[in-house]
Formats: sequence, C-alpha cells, structure tokens
Amino acid sequence: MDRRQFLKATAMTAAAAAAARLAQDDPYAIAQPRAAAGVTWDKAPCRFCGTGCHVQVGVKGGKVVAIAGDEKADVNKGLLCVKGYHVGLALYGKDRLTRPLLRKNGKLEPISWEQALDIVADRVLANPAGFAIYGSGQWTIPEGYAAQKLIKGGLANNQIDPNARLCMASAVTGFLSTSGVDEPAGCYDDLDRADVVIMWGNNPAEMHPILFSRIVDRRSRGEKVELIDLTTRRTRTSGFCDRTMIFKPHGDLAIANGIAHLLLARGTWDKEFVDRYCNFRKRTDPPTLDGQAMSFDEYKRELAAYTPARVAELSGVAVADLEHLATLFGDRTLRITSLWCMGMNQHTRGTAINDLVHGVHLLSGHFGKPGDAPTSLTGQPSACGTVREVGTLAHGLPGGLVVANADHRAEVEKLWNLPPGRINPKPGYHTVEMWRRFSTPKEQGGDIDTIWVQVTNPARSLPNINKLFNPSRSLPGKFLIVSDVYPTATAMAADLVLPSAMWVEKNGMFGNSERRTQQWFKMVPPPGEARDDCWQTIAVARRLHDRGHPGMKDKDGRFLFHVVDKAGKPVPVWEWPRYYDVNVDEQLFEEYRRFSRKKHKDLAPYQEYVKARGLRWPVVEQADGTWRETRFRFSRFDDPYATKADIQFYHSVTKDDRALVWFHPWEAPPEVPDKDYPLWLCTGRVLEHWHTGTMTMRVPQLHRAMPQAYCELHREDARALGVHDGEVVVLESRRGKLELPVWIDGRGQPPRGTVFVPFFDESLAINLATLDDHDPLSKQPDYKKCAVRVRRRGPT
Amino acid sequence: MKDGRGLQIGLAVAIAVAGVGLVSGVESSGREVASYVEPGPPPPASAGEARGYRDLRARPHGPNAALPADWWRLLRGGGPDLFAEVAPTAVDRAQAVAARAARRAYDGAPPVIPHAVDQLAVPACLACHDQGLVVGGKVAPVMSHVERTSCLQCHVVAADPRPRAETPPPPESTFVGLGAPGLGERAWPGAPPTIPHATWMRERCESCHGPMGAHGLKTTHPWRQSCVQCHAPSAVIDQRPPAPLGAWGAP
Repeated sequence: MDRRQFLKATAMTAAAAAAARLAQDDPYAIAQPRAAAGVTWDKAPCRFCGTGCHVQVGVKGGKVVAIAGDEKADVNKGLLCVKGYHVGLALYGKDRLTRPLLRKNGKLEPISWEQALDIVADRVLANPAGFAIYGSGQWTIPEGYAAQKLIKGGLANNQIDPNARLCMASAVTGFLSTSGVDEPAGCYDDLDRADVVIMWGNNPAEMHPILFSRIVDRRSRGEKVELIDLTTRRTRTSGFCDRTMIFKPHGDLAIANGIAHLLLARGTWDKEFVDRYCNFRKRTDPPTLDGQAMSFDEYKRELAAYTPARVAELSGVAVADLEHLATLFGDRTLRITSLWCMGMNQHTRGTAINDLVHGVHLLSGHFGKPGDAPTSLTGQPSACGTVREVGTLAHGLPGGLVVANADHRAEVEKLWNLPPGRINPKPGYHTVEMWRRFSTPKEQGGDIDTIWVQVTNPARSLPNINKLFNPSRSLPGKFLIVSDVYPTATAMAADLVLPSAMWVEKNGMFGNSERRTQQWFKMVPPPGEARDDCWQTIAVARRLHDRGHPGMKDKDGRFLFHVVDKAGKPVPVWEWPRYYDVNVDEQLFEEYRRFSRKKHKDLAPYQEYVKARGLRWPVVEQADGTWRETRFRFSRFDDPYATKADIQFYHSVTKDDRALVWFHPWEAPPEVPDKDYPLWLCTGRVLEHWHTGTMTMRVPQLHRAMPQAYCELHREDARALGVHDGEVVVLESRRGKLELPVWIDGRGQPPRGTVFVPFFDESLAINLATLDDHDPLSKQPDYKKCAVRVRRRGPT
Repeated sequence: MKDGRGLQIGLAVAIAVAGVGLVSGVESSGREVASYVEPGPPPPASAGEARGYRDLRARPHGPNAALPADWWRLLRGGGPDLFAEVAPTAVDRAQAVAARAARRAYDGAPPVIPHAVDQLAVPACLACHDQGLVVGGKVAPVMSHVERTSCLQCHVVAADPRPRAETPPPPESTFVGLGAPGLGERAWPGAPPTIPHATWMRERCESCHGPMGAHGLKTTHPWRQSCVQCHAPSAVIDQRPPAPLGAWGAP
C-alpha cells in the first residue's frame, strides 16, 4: 500500500466511522426523503465570534453544502447571523493553501511536509530561547493545549502569547482584580431576564447579533426591556436603544465614577450587599491586581470629585443622562445587565474601566441574580476556552495557574509528569513586546528571532504595524512561520507557510463567552496537503524529540504527547496518516481536564460534550452520574461551590469570600487630538466581516454586502475638509497613513471630530495608523482612540 | 439538477452584476482605490417649481408622476385575487426556483436584499414584508418566519451599500450550495404533496406559496390557510427525528 492509498483508506475509515456515529445516535433514523438524500448533518459551534452559536452543518460528497441554525442550542435557539449562515462558505475560497511553502530568493515555493518540519526544528534547535509561538483565540482547546505544553513543558522558555491579548486581556485582569478568578459570573440567560441592558462601548447589533436579537426579540413578545447605548458614535445598536449617550474617548471612566458618586450621594447604594460581600481597593504604583486596601470613607472621598457637572464635562454625557443611569442602578427592583467587549478592553485603562463597571454593579447590589450581571463578551470563538482557560499566555499555565507561582509550577510538573524544575518561573513576552523584539535587530535587544504564528493574522491585526510587524520582514536572521488556510497578509510575508485544516475539516473544541465548552467532529477532508494545527505542533515536537531535545520527554522518558489506542498501545500520531487513528482531541482534553479543578472551573469528560450543545463550567458530576452545568457562578442557588452565603466569591483576592470594589481616577488617553492631528480615530468591526476578513472576505455574499473598508466622517467635518461622500482621502497618524474612501451617514455616525475605520479589509490596513500604547496590567493595546488627520488626496 | 444549478448561478451572477452596476454606477477595477469623479454642479435653483399641497393631485410631479392618482390603493387594496386560477407549468416552476436560488448561497440560507436599505437606522422592513406587497409586478414577500426585528443581522444587501463607491470584484469561491429540494412526495396521484424542505424559519408558507408568491411556486388554493393540515413536514428534514421510546426512562 503506497502513501496515497493509505491516506485514502484512512479518510474512508474516518468517513465510515462518522456515518456509523450518526446512525448510532439516531436508532430510529428512517430512510431519508429524496430532498435530503446524501446530505448528512452534524453539530458544530460557529467558526466566527465568541457568542458560540451552534450550527448544523450539511455535508454531501465530502463538501459542506448547507448550514442551518441548531434548534437544540441554548445560545442561539436555531437562529444565526449572516456570518453564521455563510460560515460553510469560508472553507471554499479559491485560494486555499494546500502545500507547505518556503521562501526561496524572495519567492514562496512549494516544499514537502518533511522538509517543512525539519526547517521548524532547525530554527528551534539553533536558538531555543529565541523561538516563540504566537497563537490565537481561534485555536481549538486541544490545539492551544498542545502549543502550551510544547512551550511551557517542553522548551520551557514561556514564549507563547495569543492574539486574544489584543481582544480580552483587560477583561481578564478586571475579573481577576475584582473576584480573584477569571470569567463572567453570569451568562446569556441574564439577557432573557434583565429589565435594563447597558452596553458600554459595545455594538452588539453588529458584533454579537444573536445576543442582541435575543434581547430585542423579547420586545416582539410584548416584554419590556430598556436598552442603553453608551458609545462614542451612533451605530446600528443605537436605533434600538431607549437612550444613546455619546461620550468622549476615555469618558467611560468618568461615567462609571459618576454613577458610583450619585449612588453614594443619594444613599441608593446597596449597603447590605456591600457590607456582606465587598472590600474596597485602590491602586498602587506600580499597579498590581491586588492593589491596596482602602476604607469605605476613603472611597467615598475619592468619588466626591465626580459630581454630575464634572463628569458631564469629562465625558460629554448630559447630566440628566448620568442621573438616569444612577437612578436605574439605585433601583433594586430592576435587574440590570452590563455588556461590553472591545470598547472597554482595548483601552489603555482597560483594567480600570473593567474594575469600575464591576464596582458599580457590586456597589448597587446588581449582581448574582438572573438578569443582574456585569458580563464581558469575547470576540473570538475560543478566547475563553483556549486562551483564558488553557492559559496560553506568556505568564499562564492551564486551569488559571501561573508560572511565577512555585506551587503552581510544581502542580503542573506533577500533572505533566515532568522533572521538578522543568517549568521556567519567568514569564515570556506579552504580544506587543514579543513583536517589538521580533522587529528589533538582535544586537539592539531583539532576542526573539523566530515566531510561529497559528490561526491569526498579525500583519493586519497588530497595532502600529509599521513598528511591530513590518521591520522584521527586512531584518536579517528573523524567521516567520505561519500556519494558515489562506494567503493572508501574514502568510504572504512569511518565510515558511504551513497549510492548515480549518473548522469542520478537523476535530475541535471551543469555549465561548459564557463559560460554555463545545465540541465537534471532523466532517470533511481538508484540501490538498492541509493538516490540523494540532498535528503540526505535535509533529514539530516529535522532530525535536527525535533530534535529541531533552525537553520533549517527561521524567520517565516518554514523549510529551504520548497518545495511546484503546488497548493502551502508543500510536505515532506525529505521522499524519496515523493522526486520526485515535481521537487526539479527546486524549488531550482528558489530560487537560484535570487542571480545570484547580480553580473550580470543572470540565466534564469529552464524551459529555459530544452529547451536548456545549456545557457551562463548572460542570459537576451528580450522585446519579450525570453532569450538571452552572449558569450563575458564585450564587448559592445555582453554583455548587458557593455554599457559605447567598453570594460567595470563593477565589477572593482577600481570602474572605468578598469581591473588591476599586477606585480608579479618570485619566486622559495617551494621545489626544491636537492642532496637527485634530481627529479621533476609532477602529472596529462590521456585521458582515470577522476580524481581518481573511475568511469572510472570501464569501461572495458577505463581500458584496460590504466589499471594502471606509472612513466614517461627520458631515460637518467632511464639509470643513471639502470632502465629498465616496471621495478617497488620505488618513494619517504619526505612525502611518493610508488612502480610503469616505462614507458619510453610512453604517455609523461618528460625532464631529471623530472618524471610524473598520479593520476587516486586508488591503486597507488601518493598523498602520493605530498606536501600541497598552494597559499597564493587561498589556492590551488601545485600538479605539488615537489622533489622526484626514486630507484630500490632491492632484495625482 | 446540474443544468438547473448552472442556470441559478448564471442568474445569480447576472443579477449581482446588474445590481452592482445599478447601485454603484461605476466599473470595478481591482482592489486599488480608484480616482474619484467630482459630482457635477448642483441643479439650477429654477429647476423646482414650488407647488402647494392643493396642486399635488391635480399636477403630479417627481418620480411617481406617471403612476395613477390612486396608486396608493394598489398598496392598501384588497390584495391579489384568491380565487384566480393558478396553473403553473414546469417552466414557471424552474424560473421561480432559479430566481429564488439567485438570492441564496444554498437552499435554506437567508436571502439577500435586492434593494438598498438604510444602513444605520432600525430598518422599516416590516412595513412591506410583514403582510407582503405587490406593486407594479414587484413582490415584497411576506417574511417566512415569525416576527423578528433585527432583520439586517441575517439579511444583507446584494450589492455594495456605499453610494458612489467603487466596488472591488467579488472573491472567487468553489462553494456549491445545496440546491432546491424539488417536489414533495405524493402517496398517490392527487394526494397532497409532503413538504420537501425544512420548515424551521419557513413556518409562513404564504411567503413563497401564497397568492403573492412567484407564479411557479404558488398554491392552487390560496384561500386555504392551514397548510400543514394536509401537507406533512418531515421530521428528518426538520432535524427532529423521533427519540427512542426508551429515552424517557422508567415512569
């Protein structure tokens, strides 16, 4: 049997197994009517955002042919957004990468997988300390876990960080500094019950459409829900809202303090809740997640300056609107849910604003009951599952543990069966620092010389790409490896390109914004020689093992990724034809799952997720052997770990089961418009496209509906500049410039003095203009505000 | 089937090209942002004759001047004749199926919107699509599902929404979507056909099969309202296969 025959046989076995699985699930299956003949359907979470909708994927002849909303899914109850309905088309752009490519004399040329793996191994062995993996919140859980184990347990240089650093790191630091443990206490069920939903710099009508329609469809059923839009520009969300409050950039800090001030001044704060469940905190210099204790009186004194008049001046929001917000929070008969995403997270005071919004909810007792919740949303399908829970951050270990803590390291070494001392206590570089060092010559401190990028497009999604990404491409000795499915801007700039399988071309697991872990099976073969990212990581680890890297073995001399079949016999899964002989995802997940108990984020066995449309952790085994998910964390009525009081923050920073209410002052952004650069620039997404558009821009329906990036400009600003609607203008900041068309009163309406540009368009890279300043704790950069100018293009 | 698909794709391309051309009015040329054409001078101030409301009916003007004076009755009138004879041919049906497919990536995908919409405001889609509307041969179909108001979350425009913008060419895709399901099955000649497609999000049969549906898809008996009393949906197609009796456990 030659290689090709063998591959074919394995593929057929996989297909037969899939068919058998379906039949087994459905013993009463009858002959399918003609219309559905030949189409098999199976569940998968959507590939795009962090909402975590389930779709049914229709497969015929080895190809995805249709998508349907999954009626059994709690998250979306059978509905999808336009991206979800077209997610199957994302596999079929004509330019899929199908062979490994190596840059030779400036050109990318096909090579074999064997050569490609050798090249990666060569780069690692030449300088193990300078090798980094840059991963993603789109990694499946097993993919992230494998990369995490390779770096933290194998190479022990801790150089791994994900693109999720750019999207939710401030939410993490906000949860850690408030409740001592990451991820929201509430869940989407809050949206069905809340009387008031406040969106803090959030445009869910476009970015989380399913959650938004879940709220507004309540109105169609005759329910009343008040929607409040706190925003820096009018968006599609605004039209549905009872009040739209347009604030100045960084005004959110003042607004949150202003609400707290009014709650105290009016005496409408929840004294009982605060007395029982809260401590007060102020920050230290340098800032830490623990901060420093402060008394309630001190807290009150600090807030005294945030009178409605001053907050109105700092934020631009009318006094009457601020008073309305305080009235809502002061009313204990209402249930209030706050939603936020990039507006609060991509913020140089991201940790602070996250803390302050949690603080307003705690101070007013709007916490821990269905509908009463501060809930951060994520932008990537597994930012929570793979990054926050597997801990694929420069400082993290699986299960919420950290490398800096000796006990945590010992714990992980035990679970991974590593020799004591294997895990390096020094955190690696966070994203901005990793890429800055990659774009800096070695002799000037640029000690990262190889980055392996998986499932992300940093050439377009990093901020200030003229500083963080582009210089590396002409520096000698810097080597960029990219695993991707399409020739993205990053892949096209790489030295080595590895073609990947995507979504239902492989087994996978994701974790969504509401702590829900989801699972799916491979349904179609990947094109050409494209292969799973997880396999790529294991195959590279095996190369290193075979070439004698001591870190690739555990303390008993076994390979780090020791995978066995049912009889307990090792399976060489690093050989691609053998990869699907066993379910590698299941084995890695079962290994990883042991870590989830450390912070009460208990995960169920893999097979439970096969049956479910996702389960929200902690998933706890019941006396009868069933597994029960948890919807409302820290609330005794639902969370099995909250046993001592109605609300118990059982990972409290202060070890007394209380959350921390922080004071943070309003501070000016790092760059504000001035004479030379008189406009604010805000960046973000649109409904039709997801992130840098590498998938959605290849879907004809989505591309036609939104084919190109644009610059939203206020009509008066356009008039002052002498610019017409549709005119191509030059937009420039101190860091970079680009040309793009103006759209006036289009998808959004910025106030005077503000422009908005979406970042989905790889050909119009707005991140040439953005800045790399970041939050001191979360290290998350601010994509939402910097100073730019717009001018006419002039004669060409 | 294959030919039908070719026709659908051809129609889709034709409609998309026409739509793009109509809306943007410019030719596309690659990913580069092209030069901008200055709009002409504003129309002379004398172009518009000031008219009072009193004159409007007697002397119609503007884009609707050619419509009959009681054009609005077309919108509010009694609707189409429920008892007119409907006898579609196979060609009518093929045309209707092709027209339907041209607006969808696959059977079951939400159709794209073939007209411009307000991109920012809450759209007033339900004004026409709640009850359906026929004006001058153009149909605004009844929406096929229960009332939802965030319409643009699923339905997007079929052409570049930016006025006067240059539109880059659409991407090349090798996706081939699931085609139309074909006719329902009849137990015997003359028996009511079963429903050959999923009914989820397609609960309002009149959307396609009602008196305002395309000729080839219309029911012959639109006065009957309770469709599923005779036309059976399929539990399998609806992905609701019957659960094993044992699934309920012991009483």
